[in-house]
Amino acid sequence: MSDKPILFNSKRERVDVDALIDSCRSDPNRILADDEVGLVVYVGDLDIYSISALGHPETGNPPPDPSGHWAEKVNEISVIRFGESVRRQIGSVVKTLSADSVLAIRDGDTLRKVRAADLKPGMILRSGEKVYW
Amino acid sequence: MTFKNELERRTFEIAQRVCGAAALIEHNKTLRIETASSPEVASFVGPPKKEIDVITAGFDQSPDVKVLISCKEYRQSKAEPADVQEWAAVVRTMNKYSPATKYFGLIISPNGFTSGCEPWATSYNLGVIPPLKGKPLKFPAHTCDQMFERVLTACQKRLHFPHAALFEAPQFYEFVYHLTEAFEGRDQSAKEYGERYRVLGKGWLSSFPELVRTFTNQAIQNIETTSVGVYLSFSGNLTFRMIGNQIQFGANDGRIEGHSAPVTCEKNFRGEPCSLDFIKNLVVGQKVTSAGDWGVRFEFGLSDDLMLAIEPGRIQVYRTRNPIDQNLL
Repeated sequence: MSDKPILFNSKRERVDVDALIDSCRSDPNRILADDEVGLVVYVGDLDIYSISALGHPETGNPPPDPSGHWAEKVNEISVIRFGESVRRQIGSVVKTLSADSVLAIRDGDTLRKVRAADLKPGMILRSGEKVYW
Repeated sequence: MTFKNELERRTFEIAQRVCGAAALIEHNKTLRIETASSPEVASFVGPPKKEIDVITAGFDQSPDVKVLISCKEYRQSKAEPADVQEWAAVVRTMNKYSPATKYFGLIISPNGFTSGCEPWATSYNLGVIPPLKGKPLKFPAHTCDQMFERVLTACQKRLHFPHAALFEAPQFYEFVYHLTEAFEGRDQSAKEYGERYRVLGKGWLSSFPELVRTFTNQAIQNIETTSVGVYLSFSGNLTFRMIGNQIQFGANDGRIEGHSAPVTCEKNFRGEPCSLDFIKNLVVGQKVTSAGDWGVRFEFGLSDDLMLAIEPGRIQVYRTRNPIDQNLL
């Protein structure tokens, strides 16, 4: 996860990212990195989830219905200090992605990785969702 | 202690810094499997073994986990799939016949990796430094060193929590990737902005976007000028300092260096003389709505349609409402 993601707990209650990071600071081992490059915090055992509309995190299946979302377990939160973001409509969702985040797309009968900045309209993600712009 | 090359020396020193005595380097080490009682490892020359140069990083709190590090320093060429496959075979064999110790594999090749390396690294769960990012990138050696130190430090901390999943491909590859991917942006920013922006306290390199994120919606509280530079304080306990051509910003530690000294103060776009108090009366309490950096001159767009420009030795304020002639200060 990167750049202030939308997070919630297993009760589907919204989690404040800044408050979560502050609370994690009480255990220095959770702060995997905090330097010039950015901050990486381990939250894998804290019951934290993010919404993914890009498909099931394991099977790649699309969300169960047009308004549905998969809950994706979050292991680490990264706050990157340098880096550009891009906005793309993927399936029914407009997302802000780190320009160098990596997504898997279908390329014939194989999968190929592309950087978010290189996503082109018409590409089909592994989840089956189409990139519109 | 002798090292085969500079990369190996630097890598070992970093491993020692992070892991202490649990960091080892061995040349022409004959790597043997720990459990040699299975029929498939019986041969006329005994159980499988391989001579390798390896840096092993262990962790005091998790003695049953080690990172096997391979340093590839080629003069011109990048590491190739054969390099990754070789290390994959070593790590895989060590894990397969180890009753207790579990091994992660990591390959460092400052010249980079050819594109064919990625699927081998992901499928065998090997971390690679620098990261493979799908476009030609060359990182300087010291950046690769920083990446390695960041990964090893994070690994040491990560092992305090459940970590069995990291041994499943491509979890460790991804772990290393996520810890190293952002160096591209950091180095790009350093190239673009040089020493222009620094975060106070930590001394970290910064960027124009980070400065804008920091000050947007914060209100100016005071302006002071000294023989060293121009000091602005903001709400949120923030400070902005122009020291020569460098901009330092961040949490306000209250330090103001040098003795009080006047700077040229001007109003309106044409630069008519005015006093610092005149400028303060206008801008104190106004919030930052935008910003622009023109190399030497830095401008804050403020609420009330004001623009506050700061240069070394000069401060200017003007109103951005049209028509200009009817909105002079």
